[in-house]
Amino acid sequence: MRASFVSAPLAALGATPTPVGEALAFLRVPGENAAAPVVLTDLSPFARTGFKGADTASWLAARGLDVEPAHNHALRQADGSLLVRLSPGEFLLLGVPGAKPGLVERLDAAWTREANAGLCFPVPRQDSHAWFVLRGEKAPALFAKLCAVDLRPRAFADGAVAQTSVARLNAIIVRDGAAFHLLADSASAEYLWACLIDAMAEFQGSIAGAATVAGFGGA
Amino acid sequence: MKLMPCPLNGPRNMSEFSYGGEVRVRPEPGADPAVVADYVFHKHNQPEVTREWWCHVPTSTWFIAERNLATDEIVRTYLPSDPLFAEGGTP
Repeated sequence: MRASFVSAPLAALGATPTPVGEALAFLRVPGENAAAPVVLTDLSPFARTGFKGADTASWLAARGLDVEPAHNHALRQADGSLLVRLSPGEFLLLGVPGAKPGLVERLDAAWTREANAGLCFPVPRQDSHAWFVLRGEKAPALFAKLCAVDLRPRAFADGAVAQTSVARLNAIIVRDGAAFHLLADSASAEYLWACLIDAMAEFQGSIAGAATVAGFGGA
Repeated sequence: MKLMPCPLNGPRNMSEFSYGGEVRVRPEPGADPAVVADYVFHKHNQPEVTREWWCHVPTSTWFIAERNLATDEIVRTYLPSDPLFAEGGTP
């Protein structure tokens, strides 16, 4: 089972982890308010992966994925997962949170040393990066306290990606409709979680369970 | 804060970058010891536009910045794969 990197602070709020496929996720958090001005959710137990190398774009396209031509952009796939192009040759795939295996599992199984993928190599993101989601009208204002990149809708369009510093951690930010995916070093996950909670206090933010995230594929 | 334009990620705070030294040509193996000593110990370090290696740390992107050492103005930045890299002389 894949546990959350912020199990301890979530358990301290009275939340209990629930098995969801391979994930051990916090689906509900006591006192959660998914309509708060800013809502923080941990998706760390859910599937994600990455691939890197000069032939990666063509290898992904050959597996039937829609590949975004420009880097620092994300593209929704047919199964609902999000393919994030980080550079001309590096990709991150965020699966649909839920019980059902999807594109992430299919690609991880498809890549082997014998698969003749050329210059395309796995960059596992499951254990290296924590995965948080921030939603709500005040999410850009919250980021303005922790990060120098302007994430307001007029400057940061849907699907835009910023690789920058958030609370002094190297981080990847992906805009997905009204939500922001935030990925950063898993070893510093509790630190970042505490920073986000501290920053959202002035906006009456709320911590919500994974079941409140749009597109959640069910337990 | 001072901004630096990363060729891949756009303008970012200077605190996101790490300096990698002047762009220099490494002597061939077996080169004259005086040439190797010059490479190891002597830096150009003149008050003029100089080509330097910089790294955007959040993405580990190494690139070239042309920076005026007298005014600290960043003239331009580009990737080592850019034709500009081959065109430029070493300081």
